[in-house]
Amino acid sequence: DESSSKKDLFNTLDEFIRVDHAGESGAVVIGEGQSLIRPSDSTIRDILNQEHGHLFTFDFQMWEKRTRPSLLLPIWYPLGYALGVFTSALGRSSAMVAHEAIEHVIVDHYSDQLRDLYQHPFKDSPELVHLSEVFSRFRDDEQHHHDLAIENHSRDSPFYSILYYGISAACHSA
Amino acid sequence: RKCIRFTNLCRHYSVRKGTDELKQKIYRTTMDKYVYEHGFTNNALRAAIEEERLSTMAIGMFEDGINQAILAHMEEASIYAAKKYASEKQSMTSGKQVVMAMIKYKLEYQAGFIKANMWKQAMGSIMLQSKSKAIESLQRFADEVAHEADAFETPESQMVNYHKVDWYAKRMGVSMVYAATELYMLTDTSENFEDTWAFLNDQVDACVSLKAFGEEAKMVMDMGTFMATTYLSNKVQ
Repeated sequence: DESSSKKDLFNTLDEFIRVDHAGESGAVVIGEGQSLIRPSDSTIRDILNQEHGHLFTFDFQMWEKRTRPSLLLPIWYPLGYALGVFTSALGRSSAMVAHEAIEHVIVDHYSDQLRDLYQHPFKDSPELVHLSEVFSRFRDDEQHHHDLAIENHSRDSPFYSILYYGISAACHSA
Repeated sequence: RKCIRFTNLCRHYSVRKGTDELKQKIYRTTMDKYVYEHGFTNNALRAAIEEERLSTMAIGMFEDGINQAILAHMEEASIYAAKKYASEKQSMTSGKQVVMAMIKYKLEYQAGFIKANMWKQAMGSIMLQSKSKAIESLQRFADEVAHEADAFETPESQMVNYHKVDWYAKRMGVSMVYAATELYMLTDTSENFEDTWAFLNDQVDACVSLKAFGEEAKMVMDMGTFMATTYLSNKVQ
């Protein structure tokens, strides 16, 4: 009935916003870890600035939709920071491998969420329409970061395989 | 009942037409009239159902019996607190005052039963049989209070990372202050519960001091982390 469907809509919004907020928080702390080691790298800085913009959007959505943040944020912050510092310390191309792996997983994740939104019974509600526009735009940004990482010689890293598959597996499990 | 779009309280407490309206009416009648006669028991609920000229078999609609009426009353108290705060927002000067005001308004809604020395029975009944729903109700209220206190202290332009990792700590703090104050109020015999409001003030002050301690500890940790990573960065370069 209508009331339980609306609760369903609220729960869907909650889940999407919480997961994406946790993801963007992770992306920001990884970027900050990397920029600590390579503060003058303009590519890392540009990616970080865009991720800050994404995080701001989800922060505001969380505030507006009264969503609780992920319980695992205290774990993602130090782990993400350490990953950023570690990959940046290995070399610039290794830092780019991290971005290539993470953005690949995130693009797939946003695509899955968009598919879920388009099939949702309340897909025409203003909240879900707005959210699908946001996800679509962010997915394009993340795809751009992925392509930027490849352009910046991520595949030249001597640790490419181990870093790419390791970070992808970690992101999938997260 | 019109509610703010995403207020958590109203999200979970929407009254649908038909069965819910009837149930709401029965809860109201039970809590306003029959609990004084029958106590917080299913007999009070049966008496309210009979007043609606329904068969007493209709008690089957209420899976938790009298606890559903008590829970409905607690939710109404939370909504009353939120609405009263919304109307008196202009007179608040700090987040601490917001927390104190909202907790006070919710407790005032229940003051009638406390004065009549009946609320202990309601709390006992809820804790025995519907503990998880009572805790959820308290969580929703704590979320509302913490959200309003944050909104009061943080302008919208600074919402970035407003929640951080103390989102849960704030709500737990509010829940504990509320629970402690409610328990204190049960044994308060002062005029207009003045001792309870003084106790509430002390509890909120203690939480604020704890928060300041937490912020200082975090500052020390941040400084340590910064020094360690700067050292590492210099070593790498």
